Amino acid sequence: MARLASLGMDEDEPFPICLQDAPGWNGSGLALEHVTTARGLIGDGGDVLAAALPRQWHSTAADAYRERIEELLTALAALSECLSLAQEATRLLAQDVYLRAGMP
Amino acid sequence: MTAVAFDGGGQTGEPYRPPVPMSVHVRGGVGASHVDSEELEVLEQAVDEAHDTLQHGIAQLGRARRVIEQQAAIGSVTVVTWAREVVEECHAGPQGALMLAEQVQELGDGLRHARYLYEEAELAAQPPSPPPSLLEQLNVLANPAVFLGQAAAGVVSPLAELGYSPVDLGLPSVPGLTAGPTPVGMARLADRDERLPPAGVAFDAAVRGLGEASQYAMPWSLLPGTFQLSGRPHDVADMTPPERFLLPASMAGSTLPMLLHGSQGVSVTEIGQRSVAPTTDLPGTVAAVGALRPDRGAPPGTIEVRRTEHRSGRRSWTVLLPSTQEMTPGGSNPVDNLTNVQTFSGIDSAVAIGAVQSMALAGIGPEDEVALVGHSQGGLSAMHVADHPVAQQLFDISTVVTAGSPVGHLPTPQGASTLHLEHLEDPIVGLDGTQNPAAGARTTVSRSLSTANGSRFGIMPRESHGLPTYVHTARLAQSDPSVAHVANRLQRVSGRSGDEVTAFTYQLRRE
Repeated sequence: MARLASLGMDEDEPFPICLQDAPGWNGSGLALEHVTTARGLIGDGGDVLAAALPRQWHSTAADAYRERIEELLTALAALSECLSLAQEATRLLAQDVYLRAGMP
Repeated sequence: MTAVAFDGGGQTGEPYRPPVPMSVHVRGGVGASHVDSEELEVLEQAVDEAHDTLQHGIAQLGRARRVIEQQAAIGSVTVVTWAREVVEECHAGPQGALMLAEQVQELGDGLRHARYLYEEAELAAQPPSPPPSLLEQLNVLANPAVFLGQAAAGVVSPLAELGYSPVDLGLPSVPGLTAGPTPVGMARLADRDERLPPAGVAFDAAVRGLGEASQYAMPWSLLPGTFQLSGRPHDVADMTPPERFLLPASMAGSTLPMLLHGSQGVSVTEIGQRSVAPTTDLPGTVAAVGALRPDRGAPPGTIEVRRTEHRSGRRSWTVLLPSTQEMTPGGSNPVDNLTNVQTFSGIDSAVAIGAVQSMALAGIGPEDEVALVGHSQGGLSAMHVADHPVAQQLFDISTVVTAGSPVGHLPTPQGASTLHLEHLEDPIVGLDGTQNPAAGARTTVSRSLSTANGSRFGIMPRESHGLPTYVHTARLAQSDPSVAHVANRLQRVSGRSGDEVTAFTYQLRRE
């Protein structure tokens, strides 16, 4: 949340509860909602890939895929961090839009 | 079976894509390993599922970007800009979701091609189906219309199941080429659907279907179970259905030279002799076959016999055999389609006879080690000659290397180590209707061109069957232990730097 301070916004200001409970409220939290869903889905994709890696292949041929899958899992973890930042940015956007639009 | 090599990095100007593993598969030879195609399928399904989930996530990020643009007029510039940049980075950045999903799909494509190959290889390990019984044969004679229908279905059905139908049967097929009288081959060649088996595998299945349905053309059950052909014993039960189908046609075709030229003979004329640098590795020796092409200046029907005088005083020979040069069968240039069908069926062709005569004319002694190297038809002829009783009596053939040759049904020549370079997308290697057997003396390199370095479909035969592509494949595979074993044997014959090599060229003509 250091980003909030750098933008001159109060880090302690309570985030409208309605955005946390219903991020799409009046549309201001829609981007956050989509990013959060995307993060969950992409995380699920990584879980599926990770589960496909058995401890021991029966097939030495399949071993050739292990390294590549592990690289992809690392890249997915990095993407998840990027998405975490995107959640922060879109939460800030939601707050900003909410306040500027004078929503109740 | 071993996975050995990857292709290089991304092309200039393109985003880097890590190479997909297992684009080069090596079966047989000295480095044995194990493949479980069911395990590959489970992994493939998991990767596909992960890809589908990622796609849903990507759709959500796309929606997020649209919402941000809608809110740009309301939010502060700084906040909107930050949200826009970060979400865009996650969505379409160099390591974003779009790129990752593409890489996951490429991995799935590579797994799918590997599975197709190994499923075919497992089929090839089974004995061929028995020849038709007398009862089945009588049924065919009594119901010729049914037979013809079955024969047509035998060809169309496997192609349709594989998605290569010339007509739209409602099955997965080639986009844009499913309707109308598009020849199957053209539809196949223009394939761009990554879900379809690659051409080499698809043609194996189609040729097998054709053979199963068409082997009834010959009343095998009324003929002796074993017979002699070109000096070798043949057992009908050991022949594959495509062989049973093609042999009668090949025998009939073998009368063409007599009809056209009044003779079954072949003339061998020495047309040149020159010193050449030794080819000191597998790719270099395979590439040397390319100089025999007429479009490279070689007279039609040219083969080359290279003598290597080693510094140790030893002498060895490398015989180079070219790919098909004439489509019309039976003409004066024997490097034609008649030689293809004859050699496929185990009949001595003019090229095989001419090659043995050339080897004798060049002065190959019974103690001299010999390697045979051929591209496409040249590989077929090399396998035929190496296994021929006359050649085995006259020469010590230790090594055979084929590139893009349909030789899966041919026996492994006694006393020789063979190496077969194949591409999954090469339709020509599928014309044998089976994969090569994996044995200690028989190594096959199967390279997937489509999934080597990012998915790339719609590869045309000019590339997948081309000699330069096979030379590159030889380069990629040569570090594998099984390939290196054969490559070392080949180098022992072709020579090393400092050895003296003389190339004798011979022109073969039917007359």
